[in-house]
Amino acid sequence: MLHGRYFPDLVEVMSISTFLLGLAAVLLLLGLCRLLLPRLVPTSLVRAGVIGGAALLVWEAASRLTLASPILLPPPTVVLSNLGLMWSVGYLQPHIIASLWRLLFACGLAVVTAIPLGILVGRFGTVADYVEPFLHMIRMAPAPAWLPLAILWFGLGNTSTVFLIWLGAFFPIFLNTLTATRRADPAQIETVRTFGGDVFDLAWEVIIPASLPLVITGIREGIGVGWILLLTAELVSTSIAGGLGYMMEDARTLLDAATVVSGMLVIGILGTLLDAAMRGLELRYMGRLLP
Amino acid sequence: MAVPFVVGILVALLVVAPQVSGLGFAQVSSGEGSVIAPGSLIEAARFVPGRRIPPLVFLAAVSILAVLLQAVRRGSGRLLPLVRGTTTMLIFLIAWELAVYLGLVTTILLPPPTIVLQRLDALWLNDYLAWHLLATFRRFALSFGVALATAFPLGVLVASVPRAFAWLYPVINFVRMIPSPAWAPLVILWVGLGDPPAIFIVSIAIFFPIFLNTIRGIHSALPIYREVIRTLGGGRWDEIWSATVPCALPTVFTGIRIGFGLGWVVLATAELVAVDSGLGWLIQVAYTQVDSPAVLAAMTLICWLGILLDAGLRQLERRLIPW
Repeated sequence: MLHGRYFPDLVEVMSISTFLLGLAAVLLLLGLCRLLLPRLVPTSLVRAGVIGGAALLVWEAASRLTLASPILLPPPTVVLSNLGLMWSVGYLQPHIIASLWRLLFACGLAVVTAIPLGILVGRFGTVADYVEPFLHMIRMAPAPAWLPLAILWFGLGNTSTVFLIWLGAFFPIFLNTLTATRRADPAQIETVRTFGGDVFDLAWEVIIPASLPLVITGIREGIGVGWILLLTAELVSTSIAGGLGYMMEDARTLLDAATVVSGMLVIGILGTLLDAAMRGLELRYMGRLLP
Repeated sequence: MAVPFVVGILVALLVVAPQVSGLGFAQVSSGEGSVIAPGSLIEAARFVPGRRIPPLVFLAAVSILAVLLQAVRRGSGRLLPLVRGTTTMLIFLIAWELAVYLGLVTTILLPPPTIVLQRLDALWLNDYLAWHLLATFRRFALSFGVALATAFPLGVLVASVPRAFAWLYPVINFVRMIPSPAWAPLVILWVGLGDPPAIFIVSIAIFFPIFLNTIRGIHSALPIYREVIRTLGGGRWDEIWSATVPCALPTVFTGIRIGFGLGWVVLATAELVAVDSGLGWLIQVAYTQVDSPAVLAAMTLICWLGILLDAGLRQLERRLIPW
């Protein structure tokens, strides 16, 4: 079901007046919301709307004036209509879900493995001496270069993709946990020891609270890296299991630039949302933990 | 201080660029026959056994080295972390080699170090590997040059227009959130396979860290330095050149280093997708032939080259920006 849809023939392209009216309506709505609910709609969103709208207009004009070939760079009207069609026939949603599921699963795996290991290595200086250079070496091998090996090991499909994302997301989380664990205040550690706390008390009362902000930063970086690797892996490996990268690569082989550009738009939007969510989480925890 | 650096990179690009544009099959195979076309050579290389270190000799040598290292550790305290790190790697090598010979791992999925080394030796024949290394380096240098030559001036421009960054940031952030490999299908549609899409993808990856850090660096430059320059009778140009840019340079260089690392990673992707030479391509071809020793050999090379380049860049940073 997910393979080989060719949309351009089916798309009913919206007219230019609809496009302009829609753009104006969105901007007006944005402005209105800004006036009525200034707390809910930050200035950056309005700015994004204005600049983004201008970019869409220029893009449309360039296409109308045939400065760019409409086959290679379809105008926004075509792309948006295409996006609408893909959504309404239910073609886009499975790809989005497949991609996001992979990303979240792999990043969850990275969190579960990297944080305990980071605390372990960070708490025991000798272990760090032994393990760190080795891990740094593995880290320096670009994760995409692991892809062929991962495919040899796990075959095409989900497993190799998840492995790759896990590999990429692991190191930022691990290294940040390591640094954070080392930063725990020795005075606090001594206090817990003095009052007869064991290792678990130490971890729970001192090390985890002290290191949480940095660990969350690490998770954000890890998801960022994972996001890049997700697309890389999907372009090359995932094949029939779907995903946005696969959708774009598939569309490229059919010379369906509208779907490729639609995919890029969706990826940009999802990436921005993901980053904003992680940033929000980070700020919230920073705020809670800092005195 | 930064001028000779930038000029040097630009000159290097001028020297490198003409050779890169003609870096294809035709040119190589039309030579005097000293260099063989890649396609035929990888076939040939598969049947060249290469020189192999006997596994037992390898194991013995690595073990002796590991033991000898333990003797060194009593000498100097400063070297201790280095010794420990190296020990882990040596033990890893021993375990890897042993695991394969004890039948714990299938050779085709994880070939042991001796076979990887043997493959490396075979790949080295007839300058095959050197040719691909050169292709990778040229492509990387070109992408890096393109990114630096666009990101730094653009960053200075955006940072020097008041409020421009605040307006542009949402859109920049949106574009930044599209991973550079995701550009590949579109760019390949635009310009076809070959060097241009690869260079485009890598430049995009390098562009954003340098661009954003340039802006950040210039914004963080303290106004007091500019006022000092103005008090001493400097003009607007002096202000930018003697106060703002030196203040911004450490941040810019951080961006350069982040971009450098990111670009090195993305280069491997770009070469997997778009081109017909380079280490990434070598991995891809080896993978399609289930030639896992060559995959691992190329991976190891990419890894160590990345480490070396990063270390070199660190040194350069220390030389160029001692403040």
